Amino acid sequence: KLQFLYFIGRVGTMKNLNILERPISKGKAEVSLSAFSFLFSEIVQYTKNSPTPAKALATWESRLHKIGYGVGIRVLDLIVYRSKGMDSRETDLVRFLTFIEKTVWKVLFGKQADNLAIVAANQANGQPHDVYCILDTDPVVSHFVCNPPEFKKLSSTAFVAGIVAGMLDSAEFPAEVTAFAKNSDDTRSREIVFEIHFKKHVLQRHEKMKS
Amino acid sequence: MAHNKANIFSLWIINKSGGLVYNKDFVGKAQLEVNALLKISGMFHGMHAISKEFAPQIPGECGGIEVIEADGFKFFCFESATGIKFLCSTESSFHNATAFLEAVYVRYTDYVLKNPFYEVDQFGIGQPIRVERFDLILESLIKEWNP
Repeated sequence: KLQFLYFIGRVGTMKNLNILERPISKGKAEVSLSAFSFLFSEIVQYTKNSPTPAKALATWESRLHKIGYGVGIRVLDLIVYRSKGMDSRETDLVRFLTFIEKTVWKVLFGKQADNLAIVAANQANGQPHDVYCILDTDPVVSHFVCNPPEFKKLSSTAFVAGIVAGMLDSAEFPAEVTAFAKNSDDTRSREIVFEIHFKKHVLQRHEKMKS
Repeated sequence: MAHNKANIFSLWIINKSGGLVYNKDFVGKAQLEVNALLKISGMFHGMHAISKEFAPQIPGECGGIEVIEADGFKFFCFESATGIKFLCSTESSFHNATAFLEAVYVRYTDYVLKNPFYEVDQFGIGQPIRVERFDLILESLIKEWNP
């Protein structure tokens, strides 16, 4: 009888553990797209005018980027912890990008990104400078957003670019990530390209590791 | 979905203060000019409210005008729980446009209300809906109803 009461007492205390002592949840919970879309709509409106009215689209986008960055640095650890087969820190650039394209996108947005591409480009001084691109045909985050003519070039997906940038920075692959529409002329197309410009030392390190 | 081969001629959306926020014509008929449309919407809003009071049931439980039958066409009204009215004019043989208007309501909540660039109310005045995506979505919706 005493053991039985002790068991009941133990179960009772599980709920009273503070949040830092509870085990991490499996991560199966989903958020309704409608609820998130209303929140995102508010975020877009908020970043336009706070702390000061944004005079340029770039300022507005950088505010969205900053908010996404805060998400990225936190969510990476959680996703890595929950994924199988990630026992050690990923050090290969391409493998990490594939991880973002497939696993991270699936966890955050419910579907994988559509493509990961490398666009070889040359810097002004003639040195090769690879640019990596993640393509998403209709980012879930901005599904209900439709830019009016006066803000046609605004990428609300700068928020997602911020998430990617936060993750890359946390994983020691610092880069600049920007999001823009793939076909800016075709207003019906909702394809977004996330262009990732790694810092020079990251690319050099990658070259060294390849050889 | 078995619906009559009838045509839906036009769609109007009136906000809860009685202002017209959206109108679209699907058959290329010449529309009245904007001021006339606004006046008519205001009048309909008033009549709709009055019709609720005239109902023989307990006042407050009536849903107001649902159909107006006229010579050559019918006019349907669907009022959402939030007071937004969706109206459409259709061919005379059309039985019930509720399904169509409810579908428009769903797309309104999705592509207009969740759009950060649409302001429902600015300085107390209801704003017209100028969302390109909403127009495109309605165009594909109307194709299901106007074969």
